[in-house]
Amino acid sequence: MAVVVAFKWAPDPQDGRVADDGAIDWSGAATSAVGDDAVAVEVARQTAESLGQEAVGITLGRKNADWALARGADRVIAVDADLAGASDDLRAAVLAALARRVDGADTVIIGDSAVDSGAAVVPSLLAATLGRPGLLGATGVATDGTAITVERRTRDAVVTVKVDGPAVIAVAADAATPRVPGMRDVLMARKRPIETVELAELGVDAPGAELLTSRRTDSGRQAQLFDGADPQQAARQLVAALRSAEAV
Amino acid sequence: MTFNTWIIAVDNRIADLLAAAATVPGEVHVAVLGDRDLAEELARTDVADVLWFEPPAGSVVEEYAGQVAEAVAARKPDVVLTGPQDAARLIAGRLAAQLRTPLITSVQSIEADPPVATRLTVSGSVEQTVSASPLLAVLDSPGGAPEATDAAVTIDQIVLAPGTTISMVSAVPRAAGADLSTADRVVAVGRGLAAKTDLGLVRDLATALGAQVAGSLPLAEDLGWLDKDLCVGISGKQISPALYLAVGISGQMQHMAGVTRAQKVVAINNDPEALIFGKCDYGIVGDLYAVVPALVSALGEPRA
Repeated sequence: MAVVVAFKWAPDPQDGRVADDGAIDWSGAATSAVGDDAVAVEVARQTAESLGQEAVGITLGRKNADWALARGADRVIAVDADLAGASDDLRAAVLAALARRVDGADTVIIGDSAVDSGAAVVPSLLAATLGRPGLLGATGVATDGTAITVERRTRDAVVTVKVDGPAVIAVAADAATPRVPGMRDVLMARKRPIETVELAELGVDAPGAELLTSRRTDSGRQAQLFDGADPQQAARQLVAALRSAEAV
Repeated sequence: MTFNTWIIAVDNRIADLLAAAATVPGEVHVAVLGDRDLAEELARTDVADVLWFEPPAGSVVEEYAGQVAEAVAARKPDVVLTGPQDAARLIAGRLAAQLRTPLITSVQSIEADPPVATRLTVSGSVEQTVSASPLLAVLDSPGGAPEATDAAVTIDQIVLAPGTTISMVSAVPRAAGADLSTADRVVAVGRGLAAKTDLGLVRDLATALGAQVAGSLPLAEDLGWLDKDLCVGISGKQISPALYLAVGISGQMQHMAGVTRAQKVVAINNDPEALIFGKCDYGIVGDLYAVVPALVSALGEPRA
């Protein structure tokens, strides 16, 4: 049995170079752990420990395998491909294919936040592709040694549910405090196995949308700045500007 | 040509989904996952009919995403529209798998015919139009409660098979948090604030503007000064207020990705080099401790 932790590991949207015609170039982008990837691996490590199971990391790209191992994954399966700029559908399909390679991987944990697309749908696509229920926005994951309980905050309640069977749990940024690995963790991690898989081996196929038009939007805001050296005057100028723009 | 359009509803916030669906020629159907009251409310809207899925009492709705998607997929939709709520995204994911179609996210609007979605990507810096068949779109803003019509349409109930994986342990009511997703004005505060007790300053400004208070992730996460539900950014809420006023926030992409859809962005920061001044409509370069009280009093002054 194993607890699988899936890393989204995406390029920083700031590194996507957008041409005037709206074409996006990810070639210069360094991929990095997305904010809650570190939270996901910590939750997975604790859950696996408490259940007496293995914590297996599945990653997009080979580079992040060491990162995951140093933070407590027992082993890592990495797909050797550059998926920067890939669609959420393809990311999820690849992660699902990797999760299927882990025997008895009932629990799959993933960070909940949006990555480059800003849409936070990789966890739900992953749950769908694996054909199992998903729980999004988990603010706490606990076990009693056998069963997993998940805490979520809905609009008007704190809801605790028990998960009894295969599921995908997407954890929010506050579900655990990420560990900062020490030198010992990094050294120990070097002894743990990394299995690298070619993308072609996985045989994944994700449907793509047809792109019709694309354009830059980021030139939209041109700041009108007021000097706060005289706070009263700056405040009046701002309020006047907002009033004439009918924003207040 | 007409299209078979479906809206997936997990609560009553579907006004913008209905408006988007109305641009597509053909009948609009609503699939509702929720209680009878919700199904009846949505039956009194401008749709052809309601397909109602009632989760067994005391169960967890997330478990039924697969069954809802299966039933909707069997009705061969050409266009499916839903919102960004957790349960809605789970159903959308299942539909993508069932219909073998891409899940198009961050959608701002729909045009037909043929159906085309306009969406934002790369943290809002690129706007694309895309098509797919069927077109499965998650709209950023599903809208508020729909306007009620006089007559109610037919409700077809589909009985869900009880789920076996997820069971309810407890649901403890909590004070309903501010709903940033529908807030018209938001004042957000960041690490520029020196002490938690100074939040009062920001709340005064929010009161003067009739705005809700929000914050950056570090303020909630590292300092614990604000409820984490009030975080704006890539790991928090992505919001679309008419006015977003950022106080002592530097403007890192991780934060700004949460407000790309704000209509007007205002920044107050003492660092003229702060990134946010390149991403706002109006800014005051100055000490927030002097500027915020001055703003509160300027807002109280009559219009010129």
